[in-house]
Amino acid sequence: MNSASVVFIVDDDPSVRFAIKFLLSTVGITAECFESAEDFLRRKPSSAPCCVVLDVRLRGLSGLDIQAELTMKNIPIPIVFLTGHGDIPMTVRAMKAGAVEFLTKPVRDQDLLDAVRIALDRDRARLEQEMELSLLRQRFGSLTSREHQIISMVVEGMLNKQIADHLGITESTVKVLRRRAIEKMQASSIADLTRMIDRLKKTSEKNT
Amino acid sequence: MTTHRASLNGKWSDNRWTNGDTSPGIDPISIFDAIEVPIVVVSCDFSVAGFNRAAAVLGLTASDIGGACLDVPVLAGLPRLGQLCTQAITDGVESRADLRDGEKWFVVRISQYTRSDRQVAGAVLTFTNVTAFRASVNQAIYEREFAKTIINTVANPLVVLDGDQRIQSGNRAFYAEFGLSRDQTKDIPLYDICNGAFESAALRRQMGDVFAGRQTFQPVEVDLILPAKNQRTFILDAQPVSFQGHSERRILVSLQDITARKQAEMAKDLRSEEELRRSEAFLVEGQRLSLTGTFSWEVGTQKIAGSEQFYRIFEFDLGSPVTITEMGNRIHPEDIMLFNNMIDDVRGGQGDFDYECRLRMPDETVKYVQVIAHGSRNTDSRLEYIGAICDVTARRHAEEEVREGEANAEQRLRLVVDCAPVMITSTRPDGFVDYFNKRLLDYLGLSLSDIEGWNWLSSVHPDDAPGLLEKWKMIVELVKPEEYHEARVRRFDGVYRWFLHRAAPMYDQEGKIVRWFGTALDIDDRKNAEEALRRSEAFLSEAQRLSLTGSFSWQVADGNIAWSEQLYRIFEFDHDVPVTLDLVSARTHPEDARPYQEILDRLRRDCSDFDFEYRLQMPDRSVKYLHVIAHGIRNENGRLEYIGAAQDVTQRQEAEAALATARSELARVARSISLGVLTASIAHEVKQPLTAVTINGQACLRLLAKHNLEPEVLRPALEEIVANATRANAVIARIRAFIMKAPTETDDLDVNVVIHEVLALVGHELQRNCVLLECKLAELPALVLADRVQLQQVLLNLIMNGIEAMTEIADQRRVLRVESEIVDSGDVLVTVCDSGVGLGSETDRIFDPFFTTKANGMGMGLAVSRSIIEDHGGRLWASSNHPKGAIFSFTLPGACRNDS
Repeated sequence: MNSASVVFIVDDDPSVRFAIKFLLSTVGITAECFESAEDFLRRKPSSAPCCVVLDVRLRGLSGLDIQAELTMKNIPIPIVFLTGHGDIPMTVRAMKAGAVEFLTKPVRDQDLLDAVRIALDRDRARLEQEMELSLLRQRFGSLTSREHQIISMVVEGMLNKQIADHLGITESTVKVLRRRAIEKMQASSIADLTRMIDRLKKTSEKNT
Repeated sequence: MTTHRASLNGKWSDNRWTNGDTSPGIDPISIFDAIEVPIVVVSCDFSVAGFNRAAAVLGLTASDIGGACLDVPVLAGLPRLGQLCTQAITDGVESRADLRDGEKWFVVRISQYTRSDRQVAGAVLTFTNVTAFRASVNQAIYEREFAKTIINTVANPLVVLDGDQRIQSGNRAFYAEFGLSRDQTKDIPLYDICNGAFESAALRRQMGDVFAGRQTFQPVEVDLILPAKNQRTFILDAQPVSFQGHSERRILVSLQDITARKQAEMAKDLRSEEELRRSEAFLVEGQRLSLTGTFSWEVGTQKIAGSEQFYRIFEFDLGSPVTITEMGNRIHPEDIMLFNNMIDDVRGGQGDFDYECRLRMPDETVKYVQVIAHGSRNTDSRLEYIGAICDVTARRHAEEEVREGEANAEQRLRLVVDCAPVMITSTRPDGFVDYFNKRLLDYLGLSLSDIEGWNWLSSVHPDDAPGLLEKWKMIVELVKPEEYHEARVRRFDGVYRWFLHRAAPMYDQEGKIVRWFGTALDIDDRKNAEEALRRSEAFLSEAQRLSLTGSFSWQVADGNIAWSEQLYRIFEFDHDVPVTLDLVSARTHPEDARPYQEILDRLRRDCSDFDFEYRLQMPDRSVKYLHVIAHGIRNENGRLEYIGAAQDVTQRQEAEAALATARSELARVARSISLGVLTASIAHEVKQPLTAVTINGQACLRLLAKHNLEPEVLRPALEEIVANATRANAVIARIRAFIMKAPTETDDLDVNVVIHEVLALVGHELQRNCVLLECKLAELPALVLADRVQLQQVLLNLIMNGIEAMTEIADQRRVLRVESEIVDSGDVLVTVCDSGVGLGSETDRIFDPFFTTKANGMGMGLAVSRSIIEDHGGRLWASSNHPKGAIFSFTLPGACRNDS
């Protein structure tokens, strides 16, 4: 498993914290323990793939409160809930809000490890996507405004000749600019480029 | 030529003129040099032969002699010098040329030079300096032109006449203005132009006199009809002009067009006259009426010009045009005839008018106005009325009121008397009452005839009548006015009210009493209030006694204490002993001595309010709780005084203490009630260590599977397992202890009392869930040996179960029945029946731990209850109720059986 990943354990019982951390260490996963929701929310944000194993019943803010807080702050950290006795409404609420798993104590080691693994995979995928996206943004940002224009026309399916007509430049200039833009975007094909631009568009729409 | 020159040269000496051919007595050289006109002699080969001394001004020097004359700068400036010299030398033609040498102008005369032997020897150039002349000529030319320009630029026509007053010349303006040309007017007498408009004997004579220099000209006005401008008026001025060196004299005539100025002046005169006329009229009218609007009306035009006040009176929009018709619309309909007549009169030119009429405003209010106007003819000889209008509404109203007032004074007075809020009577001097005002009659509900004379006494309360009569007689007989007497008088509805009766005499001029006036003032409310006050004072002392509250005052400086009766009682002081602060303080409970002293110190220090409770200790060592409230004031001398009340709150305190005890007991019970909630907590407490044990164990197994057996890794995990297992055990022990509440405190209890206690606790729950309680308890005390709290817990559990089982019953009555009885065996049987959902098929399982039918229950209640009852040697079971619901019953061994 990726050594850079980290699991946060939030439980007010030191024994449970120790046990979970110990269990995770046997499969080579690093864990960080927090006694309360407040301590956990105060932690420094991590750029590595991570997830949190959260006891529902805590002193102060409950595990469900943490979940709400994270959602509100738009922190997409995957959550594995652990509870002494969970009723169905509580479980439904947690899962609906995007929890990876809702486990009851005492928990089977394999269930916990599976849940943690799913959570970490999910976070890693998310991070990779974000990384790729920021790379794309960076590349897109390096284009000149003329290259932007041409690329958006290419993606719309316009031919070089049409683009040249539209912009009032020669076809050979279009070709040069187009090639340069594709190189800068590091796209393998027009289809690849279209996919890139689509992604950029989608995320920018989502953000606005 | 050479010889000539040589000889000539030879004859001149001193580099100038050396003439060997000299006549005795005449020195030609000195003559030549004496001539101040520069002379230069040019020889036949055009070389400079010689020059005289004056020629030095031309800048000639000795070195020029023998040189070509054209090389001399000044000569080179002469145009065509060579040609002119040739003409002179060969043809003997004399010529002149103008030469300019810097600032100087010369006229050069070039003539043949012949020697005395008549031989032509060259040319002689004489230079006449004409600079000054030339300048003066130029100036003259310039001045003439300048004058001409000025004259022509002058806008006023100017004309020059000769002695016969004939036109010699005119300036441009003259010709243009009069539409004439120079040729047309040359030598034409002034009086012939413009159709002889200038013809006037006076002008002719004046002109003659001026020309002769006999007098100066007095400007005259002349009206002319000019071709383009119709009639114009000019001011004509003239003065003689003579030219230097000319004997001839001329007359310069100037004409100034003053038509526009004249018209403006005329207009101004006219206007100011008009304005003056108007403003005077306005002023006059304005003086005659104050608070007055002014207006003017040009009769022919309908239009009325009004002042601001005018607009205000008529309530027209300020500045909007007003016509006589609009004005007429404001006239009150009853006065419209008058108005129309007036307008007709005015149109007929019937002079001034002055009349009053009414206006009716759009909002129906009526105004009285007085209008004064004066007709006159303005400059256009149109009839115009200038007038003033005054709003006299207020005056009219006042006048009307006065008139009305005079007419109705008597009636009004009666009205006043009748309306007055007091009862008034009028009495003959002997005391016979002959007048009651309307209010009094209304009050009595009687007519004058019913109570005239002495009959009024029948309306006075029988208890008060004799006293009032006596008083009345005394007043009348002794003539003692302003005596008061209170007596009740019967109202029309039979109710008696208290009245204050008074009488005052009216004297005639001789000081004899002619009438008595009596008034009766309703003082019933006051009387009642007084009564209430008296009563409330009585109440107060009673209240103090009842509420165990005493009042006191304490003057801090001298220590004076006023002590109410109740306080004597509270403090158990002897009534005869004067109360002192020491005495009061001595009663303070030892435990409260310190706070008491602190408060006392504070009160002595600053004027404040206080509110505190403390304990008293009586001589018999009994304790009283005292609640004291006081308010600090500074009296007139600035001395601090406290006024307050003290209440014996011992009973309340005792009740509160009892309540607190009950509460703590209740809390204990309540702790048991929340068993359901507790179990969740218990589960968590147990599950935490179990989770730790499980996970640690599983992790160790994993390590084992990987053959990872490092003790430093395994040991802490195994230690955790042991520690957590121990912890779980401890939790379970704690729970057991909590539920069983060991050791049990058994006591002889009346089950009925315990049932009542529990029912008191659940009263609110019953009410909230709309549950009807039926209670049927054993008549005798059902004594058992039991732990009160545990028994309460069981009962509470059963009753709460019953209530909860019925919460879903909507269509039927919710009845909870609690019964107790002493059965034949002497045991006590308690049953709790509900009409709820019942037990169904689960009857057998309900006492199993963790069995529950409730969403929030943990399934511990019945299990615990059963174990409690069984611990007490009893039994707890359940059965179904008919038609619905469940019955829970338990028995407890009766305590009385042991005794018997």
